Amino acid sequence: MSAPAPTETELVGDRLDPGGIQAQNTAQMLSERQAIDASCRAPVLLFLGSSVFWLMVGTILALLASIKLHTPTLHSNISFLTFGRVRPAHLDMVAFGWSAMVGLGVSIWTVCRLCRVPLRFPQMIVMAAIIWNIGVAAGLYGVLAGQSNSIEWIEFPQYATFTLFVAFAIVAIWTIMTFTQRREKHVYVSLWYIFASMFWFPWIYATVQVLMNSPYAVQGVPQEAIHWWFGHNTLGVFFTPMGLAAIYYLLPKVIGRPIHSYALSILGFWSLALFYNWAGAHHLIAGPIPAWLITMSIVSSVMMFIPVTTTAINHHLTAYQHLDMLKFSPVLRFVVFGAMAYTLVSFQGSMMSVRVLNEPFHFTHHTIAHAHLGLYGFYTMVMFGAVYYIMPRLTGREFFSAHLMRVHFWCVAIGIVLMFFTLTIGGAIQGLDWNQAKRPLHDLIKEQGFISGLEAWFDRFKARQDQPIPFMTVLHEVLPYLWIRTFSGILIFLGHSAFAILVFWNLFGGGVTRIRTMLWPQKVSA
Amino acid sequence: MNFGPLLFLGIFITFISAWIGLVFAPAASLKNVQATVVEGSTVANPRPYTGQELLGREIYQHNGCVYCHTQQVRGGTYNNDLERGWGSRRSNPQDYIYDRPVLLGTMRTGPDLANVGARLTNDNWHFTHFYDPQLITPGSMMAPISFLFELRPIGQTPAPDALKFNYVFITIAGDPGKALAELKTAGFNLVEQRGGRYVGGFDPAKGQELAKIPGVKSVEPYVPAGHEIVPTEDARNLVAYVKSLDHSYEVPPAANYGRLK
Repeated sequence: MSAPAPTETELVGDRLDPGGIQAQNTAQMLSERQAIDASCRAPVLLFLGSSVFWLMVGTILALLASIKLHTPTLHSNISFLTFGRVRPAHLDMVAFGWSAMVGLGVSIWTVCRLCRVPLRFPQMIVMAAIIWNIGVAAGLYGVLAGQSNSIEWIEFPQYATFTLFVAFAIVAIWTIMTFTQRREKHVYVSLWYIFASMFWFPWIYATVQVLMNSPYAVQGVPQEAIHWWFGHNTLGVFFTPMGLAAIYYLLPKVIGRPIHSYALSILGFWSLALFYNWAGAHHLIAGPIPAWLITMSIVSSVMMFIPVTTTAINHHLTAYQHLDMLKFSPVLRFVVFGAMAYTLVSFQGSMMSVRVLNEPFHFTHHTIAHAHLGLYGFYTMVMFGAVYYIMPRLTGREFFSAHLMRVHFWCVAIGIVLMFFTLTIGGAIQGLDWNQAKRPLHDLIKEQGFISGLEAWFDRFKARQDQPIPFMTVLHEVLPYLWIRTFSGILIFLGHSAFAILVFWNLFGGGVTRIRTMLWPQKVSA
Repeated sequence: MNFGPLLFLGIFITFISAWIGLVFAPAASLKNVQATVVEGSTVANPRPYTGQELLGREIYQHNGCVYCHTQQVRGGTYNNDLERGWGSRRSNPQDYIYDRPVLLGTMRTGPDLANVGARLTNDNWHFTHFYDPQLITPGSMMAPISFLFELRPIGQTPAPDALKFNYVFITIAGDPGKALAELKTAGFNLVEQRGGRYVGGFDPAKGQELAKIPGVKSVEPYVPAGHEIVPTEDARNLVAYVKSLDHSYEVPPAANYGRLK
């Protein structure tokens, strides 16, 4: 190769319009971006650093919960380590500790870059990060100390919830202030998503708190409709938009080409806004609420094919011609993995919502697999990529080890794929054996071999057996899958440890001064 | 798409549509669901929880029972909820009018509890099960909640609500099969093997005989001698709540959604 490979900073400007890319890479644009990055340093790093800390807490809690699912007597005499407290603590740590903080940190930086203004009022963001951390710590204490209210996704006691709400309001107000002061007239697709999630999340959070967890709570089962409208929307209109915003920003940035079709991204955004909001009640399949609610949600879950297809076309056709760069760019590796997982998890989710699959698979590990593919395979992987992209630009230092980056990627990638397929299969067997099969699959395979056992199993499907397979038999049938899940959890823990070492080493002064992206020099030498 | 207010308006409208559909509409349409009074009596179904049951409900929430247990018998076409004997009818909005918050649940690592109070009525069963679920159901995946109990030396007189616990650990030297067969005839009811020892129930009247069986190396009581296991107030409240879960009364036919055909 004759010329040295360009650095990522040199590759593209921020407007991403075809043909204008090189023209924008003037010295002035570069210095503008450097000024933006410098202004983001303290506030955004505070968000990113805290999020990685909570990620580690959440991972340890996850491992503990996973082990307790197949070895329930472990540490069962210690009240704060009982499964019913560790499990929600895990969810809240990875949702509100890791996912929300890293998403907000990345979004704040993206907003500054896309509005082309240095971060104004950094005190607001620093204050929000501190308050958010206090809220998450208080919530963790509350759940482990036994003050949880057992409403999934909002287990935090009210003092923690309120603290989080205040912190979020500060960030949302700051976003609107920055948006109104923007110097770039064009509003790029990432900004729509971030803007929408900043507006949607406080609303759903406040609604569920007031109508479910306060003296003004509504009576009876409408609570659950509201609960799952919130629960599904936390993913759908808070995390997903922030993840998609990061993909839409990072993919063209790293590859150096504009996104495939800007018009499609508009369709994708508005159809997501319309359908995702309506999808929540499919969590109450066959439950004690009016059937029209569930049907509405199933319809809109299936309609999610539209935004997902448009987004998939945009992401994959943008990345498709440049897959060779996966070898050199850790950012791209994580982001492309996340984009693929998003397509997969969304199509799976649409299909899972339909009654014939939803009813038997509900209440099993099949759902757990789906949730992890979404929040982990998609969102978390994209955010890993975003942290790898943003941190060196803020600290001015490269990550100190490309080996650890590879350890991180392969551990978490293999870990989540293993976990997804294990729990998907295990959960499907669990659901169908509970609800539709005449005899347990594992028994049939033992007797007749794999192929004919599987055939015999499918042959005997019929809902409403006179004598369903005993509950306990099926529970024990799933145990091997739960052990493999714990193994995949250990892999993910190792990956996260590598990530945390990289991040904190970089944060506290390790690593060479930044010249170009970590893995580029290899391409030059190759 | 470069006009901020328009973007905001679109985001607002898409969102408010779902808010009206999934939040406002169900709350408005189900706000008048009431308990039904059984004809010719003053009994209303469901009944409000007692104070003790509400305290027990808090223990249920604080310790996350909902992460493994649902409280709903589903209708629908593709499931076996009714066939498992979890209820005589599918759950109905009326069953939840006193629940704050409603704890329908999303996972069944354990069985459904919508009607557990109708199935299991014995206090001692519940206490023993909460203290050590595997004693009652060998192979159970339930986490023991022994931290709601107190293991303490017996004072001058045993506590009246101490658990009636007739379980022993037996260590066997040599071939266990033969010894276990003889133990069985002597009234030992094997539950499971725990780390080289066999745990099981026994007949207190014949307790002395167990140690004399050939091959039996030692017999240790489950509860150390001179001690007793006493449920705390939290445990008693929790049992009161679990026993109150009973939706087996009839609801008016018009309110019963029945099954989808």
